[in-house]
Amino acid sequence: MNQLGFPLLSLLIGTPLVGAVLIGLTASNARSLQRTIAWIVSIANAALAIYAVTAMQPLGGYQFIESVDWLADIGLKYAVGMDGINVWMVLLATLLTPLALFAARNEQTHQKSFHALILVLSASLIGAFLATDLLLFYVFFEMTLVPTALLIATQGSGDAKAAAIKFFVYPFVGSVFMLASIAGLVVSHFQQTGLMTFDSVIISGAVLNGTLVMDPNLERALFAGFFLAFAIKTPIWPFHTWMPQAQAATPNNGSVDIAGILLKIGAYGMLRFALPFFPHAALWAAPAIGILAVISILYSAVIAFGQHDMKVLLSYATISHLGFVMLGIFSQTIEGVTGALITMINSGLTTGALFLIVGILAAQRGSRNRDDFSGVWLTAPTFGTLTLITVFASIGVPGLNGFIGEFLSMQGAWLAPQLGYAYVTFAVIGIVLSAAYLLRMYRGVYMGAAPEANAIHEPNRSELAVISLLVIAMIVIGLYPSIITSVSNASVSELVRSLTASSH
Amino acid sequence: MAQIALPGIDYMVILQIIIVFGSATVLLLIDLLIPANQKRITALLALVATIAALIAGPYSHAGITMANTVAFGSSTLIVNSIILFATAISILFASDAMHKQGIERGETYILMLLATGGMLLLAQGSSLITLFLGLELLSIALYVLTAIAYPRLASEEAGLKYLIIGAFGAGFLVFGIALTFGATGTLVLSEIAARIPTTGIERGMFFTGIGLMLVGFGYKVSLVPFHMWTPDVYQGAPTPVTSFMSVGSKVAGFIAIIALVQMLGPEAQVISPVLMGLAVLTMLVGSIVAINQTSLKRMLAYSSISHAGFVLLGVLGSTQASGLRAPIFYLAAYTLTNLAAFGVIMTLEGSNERDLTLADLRGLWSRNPWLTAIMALALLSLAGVPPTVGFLGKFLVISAVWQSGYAWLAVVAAFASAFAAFFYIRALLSMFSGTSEAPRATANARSTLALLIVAVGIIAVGLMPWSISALALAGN
Repeated sequence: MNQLGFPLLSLLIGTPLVGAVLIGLTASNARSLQRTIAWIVSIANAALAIYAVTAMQPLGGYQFIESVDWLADIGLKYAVGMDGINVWMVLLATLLTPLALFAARNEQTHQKSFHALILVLSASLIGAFLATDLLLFYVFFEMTLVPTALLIATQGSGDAKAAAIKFFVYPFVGSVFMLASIAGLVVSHFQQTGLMTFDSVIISGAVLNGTLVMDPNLERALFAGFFLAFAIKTPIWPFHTWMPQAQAATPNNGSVDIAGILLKIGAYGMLRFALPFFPHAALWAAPAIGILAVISILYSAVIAFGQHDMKVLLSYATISHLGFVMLGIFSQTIEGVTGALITMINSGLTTGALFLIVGILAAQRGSRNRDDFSGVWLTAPTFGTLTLITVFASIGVPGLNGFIGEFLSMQGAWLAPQLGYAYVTFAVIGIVLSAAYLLRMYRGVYMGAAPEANAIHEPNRSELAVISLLVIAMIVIGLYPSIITSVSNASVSELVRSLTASSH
Repeated sequence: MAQIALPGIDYMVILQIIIVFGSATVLLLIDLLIPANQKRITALLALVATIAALIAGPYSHAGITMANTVAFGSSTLIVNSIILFATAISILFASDAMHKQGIERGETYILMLLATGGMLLLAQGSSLITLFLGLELLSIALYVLTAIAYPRLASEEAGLKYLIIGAFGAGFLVFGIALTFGATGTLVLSEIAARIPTTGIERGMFFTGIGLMLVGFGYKVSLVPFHMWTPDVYQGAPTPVTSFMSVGSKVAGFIAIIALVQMLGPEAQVISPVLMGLAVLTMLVGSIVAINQTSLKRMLAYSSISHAGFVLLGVLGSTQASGLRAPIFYLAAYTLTNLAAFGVIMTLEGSNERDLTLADLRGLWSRNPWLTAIMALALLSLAGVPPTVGFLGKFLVISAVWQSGYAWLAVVAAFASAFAAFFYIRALLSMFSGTSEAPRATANARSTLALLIVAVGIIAVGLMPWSISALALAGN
């Protein structure tokens, strides 16, 4: 048992699962009951996550650890732990779950399956963030695919089934190679130390103190398996093609997309597992991965510029943000990793808010094509202001959260010997381009003359309140980023220290 | 005249086999008294016999008897349990599905018991003759079962095809046994192991014999390139029979292959390149060709071929410390999962004789949510998605081959599993999209019970693998 005296982390994983089972047991027409269960469960879980942030000691290493043997004779454990890095990912996941429910508040079809699947998705994401046992992580990592694919298939429009198949199969292909790599890593560790374990702390510790030494070719091959899985999941160019297609097929209200942007486990896994296990290979591959990251930033910005479907535009914006995350992670510096962490949080907050905004617009107009809108500001000024702040946050205007994350990521890339200023020079162009496509969308939709009939009216109070809360979070992080870094610093610097110690 | 000395028999070693064959024989008589429309009584009696044999497992004695031809040990216990479990579930399914289709006969259950006896004999066989006897008993019963939907043409055709191919495979096996006997002068596995020729023509004869036996068993478990019969027979046979043979004969056939590999000991490396080649071909051909199938039963036939390749990987890995755990766990996982998938297909078929296609799964969620959930679990487990039992099986197999030093095979397995994911997920998502006008499928109490048992098993064993892996480990 951990220092709290109660299994906080298992509660975080288990609460949504119990909620999903309860919803599964309700009659399919008991709509308000399903809704109530989902809301109670997701808010309770968010409260647990906030409690975790406050109860966390600003130290390196895992806290609130729980560990139970799962399949003892091969060293498999149910082991979860929380530190200054994953606490933020868990908080984001628990906060965005109610947001996804909120976005779908007016949907009537497939309500039961929607609520249950969102909760299952939430539980598997939280599990993936918290798992310290490698195979347990893989279990949760794969489990996220099933509810999301089902959400796309049941809720989606257009060719939702094809999109869902692609959504499932593409990341699955990546992760089976990771499974082979996990087997290779665990077997190598077993052969050299005589200990059969999947414990990520023990394995990365063995890499750090030299009890596990891999042949460079083997290390690179194993790293490639992890990299493929995480690069597809993140996604970065050229492994991104499943994502815009999936987001084009999801419902207009943005609920599934909000759930989808929770899928930061690719970048998280890269940081938490791929780097500490294979520091030499990561350093060796960093320049090439940096180039992929920069291409991701530029390519998706250019594609986003030409998009008329606002949801697809936002999905390219996400890919662009994740390019910065990758750049920060592979800089392997404290600045870069902190920047990557903050950018992951930002991408969740701002893109989540933007999906909600597009959902509100689409609900009033029945279209999410930006050409179908103009002059929204004239009839809905408050909504327009909130949208403008969110857009600025997404672009990276100083004073808002986006700036801090992107700046730190680029600073880290500049400082890193394996990357350098050339990467930053090109990445900066990406910021300019993101200003171009987001402001162009904003100008087209919110500026100009309002149409004579069917003008967009202000959203109702609850909608404005939810967006305002997100905007407040953006401003707070922008002005006072140490709210995150004070908790994450110890963990990030410990991680970076171990990376530099074992790779040199 | 010299006296013929009969070898002593320890009946407690062959307790399960005695129960199964004995009750099959008695049932054959009792069945004559049961009226044609009451054949579910025969099913019930066969089920009782199977469960009795299952319970008798832990009471059997470990040891070897009948002039060293039949053995029983802790790994036999788990394999026998898997086989008997599969039989029990298959009887439950068959008594519902065969009745609905109007092809229920008392013989069905008796033949299933006889086939089960053959499987147990294969699993317990410790001499080449017992292995051959087991395989033939199992096969002959299955030939009849495949053709039991008389006068349905597809079923007759499948039965004939299976018989001809099976006889062909048996020929290889007998010739292999003859060569091995010629080279070593004995049929008992443990004695062969001690007498493997090290040089000369005998060594060539010996390994030719082993190779031919592999071909013989390869037909039975449908390794590529001996798999051609599988899709046709799986499609043509009545679905309860397909379900039964897809698990039972595969488990039993693989246990025989494992026995051969274990017998070779360190000499197994002579045939390991052959095994690797077979495993790679089987995994890839099975999972790639399945993509192109629209018939559900054909798709599952190719899927079962692909899974045979994975089991063979586990067999390759079993030469190392991890032992028999990986292949036996994989077989158990496969049994649970395949029974669930075929169980759902049988329920969907109902009284319909038509071969179901992918299109029939469309919109299943809107009319049969529970069946959909079970099928979804089965498909996820076949694809190896956690937290199902199929995932752990796949992982154990991959780490076993990696541990044996065949890292590249783990990569090939990853490729095969990536190809396979496509058709499993396509089938899975079909059930959740669109709506269908077809009537709700209904299952009676017997097949509902069977479906529930296997569905719970897929999740429970996936989450609590120690429940069966401890037993498999004990077989080291």
